[in-house]
Amino acid sequence: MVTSSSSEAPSHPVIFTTQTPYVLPSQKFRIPLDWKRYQLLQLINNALDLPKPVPFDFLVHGEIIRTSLLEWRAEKGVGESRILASSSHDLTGRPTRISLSSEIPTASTVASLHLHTSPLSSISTDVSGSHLLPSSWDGLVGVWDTSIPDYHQVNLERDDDRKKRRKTAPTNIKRKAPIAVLKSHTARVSKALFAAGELAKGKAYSCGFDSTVRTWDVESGVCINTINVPERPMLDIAETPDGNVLLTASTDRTVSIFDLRISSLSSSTGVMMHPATPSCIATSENGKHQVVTGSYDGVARLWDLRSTKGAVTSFKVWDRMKVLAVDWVGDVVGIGGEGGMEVWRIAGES
Amino acid sequence: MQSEDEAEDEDQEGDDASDNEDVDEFPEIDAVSDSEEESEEEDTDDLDEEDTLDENSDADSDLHIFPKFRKVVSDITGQTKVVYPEIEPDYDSDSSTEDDPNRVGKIPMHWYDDLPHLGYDINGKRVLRPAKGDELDRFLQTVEDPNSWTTAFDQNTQMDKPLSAEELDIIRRLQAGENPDAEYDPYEPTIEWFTGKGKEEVMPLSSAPEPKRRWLPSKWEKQKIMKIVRAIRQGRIVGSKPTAADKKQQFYAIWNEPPSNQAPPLPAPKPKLPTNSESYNPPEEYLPTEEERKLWESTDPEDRERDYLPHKYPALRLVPAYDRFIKQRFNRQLDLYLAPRIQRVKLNVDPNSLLPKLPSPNSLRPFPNYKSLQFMHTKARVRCLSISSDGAWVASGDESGVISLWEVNVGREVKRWSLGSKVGAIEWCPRLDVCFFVAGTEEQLHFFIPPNISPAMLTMTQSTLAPATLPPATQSSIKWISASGAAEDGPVLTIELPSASGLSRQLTWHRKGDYLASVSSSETQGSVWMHQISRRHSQAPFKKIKGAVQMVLFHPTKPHFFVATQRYVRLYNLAEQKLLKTLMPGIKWISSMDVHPSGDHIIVGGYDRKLCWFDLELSEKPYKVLRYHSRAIRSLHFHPTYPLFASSSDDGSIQIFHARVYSDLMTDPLIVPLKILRGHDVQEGLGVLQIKWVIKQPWLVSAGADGSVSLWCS
Repeated sequence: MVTSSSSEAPSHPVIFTTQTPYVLPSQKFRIPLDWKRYQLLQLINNALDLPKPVPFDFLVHGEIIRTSLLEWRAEKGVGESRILASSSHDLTGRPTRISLSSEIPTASTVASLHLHTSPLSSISTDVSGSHLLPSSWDGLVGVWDTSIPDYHQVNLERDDDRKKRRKTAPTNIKRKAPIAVLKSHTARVSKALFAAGELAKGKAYSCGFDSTVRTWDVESGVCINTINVPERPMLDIAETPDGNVLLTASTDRTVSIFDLRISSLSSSTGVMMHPATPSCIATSENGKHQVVTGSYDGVARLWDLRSTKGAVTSFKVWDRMKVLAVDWVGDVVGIGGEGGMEVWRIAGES
Repeated sequence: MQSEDEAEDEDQEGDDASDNEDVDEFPEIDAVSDSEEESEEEDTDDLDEEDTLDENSDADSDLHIFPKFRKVVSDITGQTKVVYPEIEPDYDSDSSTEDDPNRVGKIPMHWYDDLPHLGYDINGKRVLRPAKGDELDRFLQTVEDPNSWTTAFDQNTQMDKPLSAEELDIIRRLQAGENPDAEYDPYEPTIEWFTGKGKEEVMPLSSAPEPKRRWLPSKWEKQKIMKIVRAIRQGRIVGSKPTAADKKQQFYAIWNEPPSNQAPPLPAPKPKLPTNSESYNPPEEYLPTEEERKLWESTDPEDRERDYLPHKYPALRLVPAYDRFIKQRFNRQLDLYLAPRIQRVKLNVDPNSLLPKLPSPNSLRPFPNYKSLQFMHTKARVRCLSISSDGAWVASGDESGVISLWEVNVGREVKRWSLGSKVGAIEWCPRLDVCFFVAGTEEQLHFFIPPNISPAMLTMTQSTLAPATLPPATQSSIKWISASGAAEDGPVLTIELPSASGLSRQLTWHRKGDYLASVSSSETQGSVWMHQISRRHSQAPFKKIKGAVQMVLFHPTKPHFFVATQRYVRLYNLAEQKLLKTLMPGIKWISSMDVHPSGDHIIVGGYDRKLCWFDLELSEKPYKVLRYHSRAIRSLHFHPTYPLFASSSDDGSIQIFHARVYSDLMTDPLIVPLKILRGHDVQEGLGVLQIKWVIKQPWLVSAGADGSVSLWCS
């Protein structure tokens, strides 16, 4: 089976990958969007130059192509542009459409999320990208869907305020109201995220400076479970892809491990000690046990959850500058911080 | 005998009266010695010889040269007694009146041997030596004179004189071995003095001490006694009164006292009993071999295992004298002398037990223990900082006039304001519904609103800082100026303090956020100002105050006001406008002060490194003085919620203390030093200039002279 990463209207750059023993050409192809499976088969069989043509199936984003790529894209509503959600100190979160259609990507804010009275600390989406979950310093977690409204759902409080905002924000940004508010934290919420895994569908986790990890039922907006870890204000939370383990980074220089398979979990099941404040955690998509943490001493560390005594490896990204965000997709790790943005490749992982 | 004497007296009446006695007793000797009168006295000599012979032949009772006595019965005692005749005091009665012709006295007569005379008589005439015949004459004389054997040579007269009958009788008695006294009667009847009826002595002798009545005082003793007697009479000497206790018999209940719990003195260590090897005849196995003997002899006496060598004797009688007796006794005495006889209780004090029992710092978590992040002011040293009431923002001001607003947890600067002059103090308003802070510079106070606050809060803040209705302005030297135009980039409100008031050293808010007290660095009287935001009114609370004001503080619950001058901390009641208390920390120069959130305790730090804890309920003297810093203390701060306080110093260190205050008044506050945080550099003698706790977290933010502001996390 062959998958392509993305598509485009008249022509779109495509990379073919496969898990079969066939050696596919590694270069990028520009493929017209009106191509169907037949044209793609011809291209691949020509490229492979096999004595007998092989009937490949093509997957885009995990789905078998049955129509033309243009039709597929129109059906899914994605591809031409991505929506990026951001959280800000200006008390709002903003979904921003990033258009990749031309060579120069353009960005335009499509809406602003209005609920919070304090700066937002994080925003996250669920797997399907249909819901947004920003967390704020005021202890609230709002839930928004990603549909773009046609009208302002929230009125601004004062005239002079509106005047001021107009100067900075264009009028076509629609103010969106949350569909639910998760209200239980007593201090600032550092991070909220949707639970991964099939079993935990419709759940969300959040952590905050009140040293608690809370599990939410997003539909009803009710806190289901609270894990209280005394005197450990948390900065970040992450979940392994299988949804079994939660990781929280806290200001006492530890990353706590919560094994969700244990029923009636009341405290952390393990800690990973850091020499400086850990600020961010990222779990790997395919490896179950690897975790990357970034800390204020400018070092990103790779940990194995099975042995938490020391880091597997660490790489100094910047000297005397903080690592503020890490992400891990495939074999690359993106590290953002005071020194800018860096992408590292993690090779030889098990 | 008397009759004979009288007869002789008659014969020799013509002789000298002085020679009367001699003539009377020994008439013959005179005649013989004197050659001239030799012939005359020949016959009388014979007569005397006869008399004497007669006397000698008489019985003893008859012959009495001593005066006769008679025995009479006494009228008084009824006993017989010897009565001697009265001595008539004539010449005859006393021999001392006898005339000796030679009056030279008792001198050695050989002095006159070479002289023709013997001496001198009473008239000073020479007594001539009597003629001394040769040996033949003497022989003839002894032959002729039948009495010559009873003569003896008289030294005084240098011639032979016949012995008297009494003298001869004495000689005879001596020769016979008898008592020379003729009167002595060895067989006298015993006189029963104390035996017999009526003569018994009833306890005649006593060993009783001499009675006082027998004592006869002398004149001086009498005077002394009279002096004492007079003193007693006049009452100057009072004898000790006999007490009632003396008269009563006292009994002691010997079992009433509890028995002494002291151990009885140890008995002396017993000497070791002799063993088999010390026997005189030990079994063979105890006897040393030759090697052992040599080894024993070669070792020093101190190193020997035992101080003897076993020796075998076939019999006990063959055992020689014990040669080491003295040595052994000496050693035994030495043992007894050196052996401790009392059980000395050794003072075995563990030095750790003397330290106060403080809980372990690990049990007092959380407290800041590491530097989480650092925010740098690049240009100048950071004098002041303040943390917003929600604990999210830090405003720090440096000496170049830059105020940075940054987020506590990431350390990202959000906004920066530049003022012309250096910033001496920054303080956030403690109200939760508004969000602004005040920065004090030279002679000015600036009010700033941070960005990114919610519209409701922004409105509230703006209305607070610019009240719609103001009371009529009074004449005052303080000006309140609202910035009208570019409010986003500058201060929204400025208070202009009177000129020459200098740098604002300190700002402090009342807990309700309406009153703001400012302290300027000038030494003049008007250094303390109280500003009311809602009325836009400023006043000086003290017309006159002694000493330069270092710090002021509002009491967290009561309308009280702390003022720290250079030496003292005064507590004023603002409502009643009077002085409540003067605290004397004993610090030479107070640098900083903070009040406990409960309001009952304050801590005062000084440039002389001392930190004093005052319990306001207790005393005006410090409850505890801590001296842990090596340089001047710069800043103190109590945590608003956690039982923590911190002190910072010019030595670049911050010290964290646990300070638990109990609501029970009887329990003293517990102060435990927890942690010393190091990380600030000392620059130009200045270390950490200000510290502040993050409101809801056990985190500390410190501003250093090295231009860095650090966040210390738990």
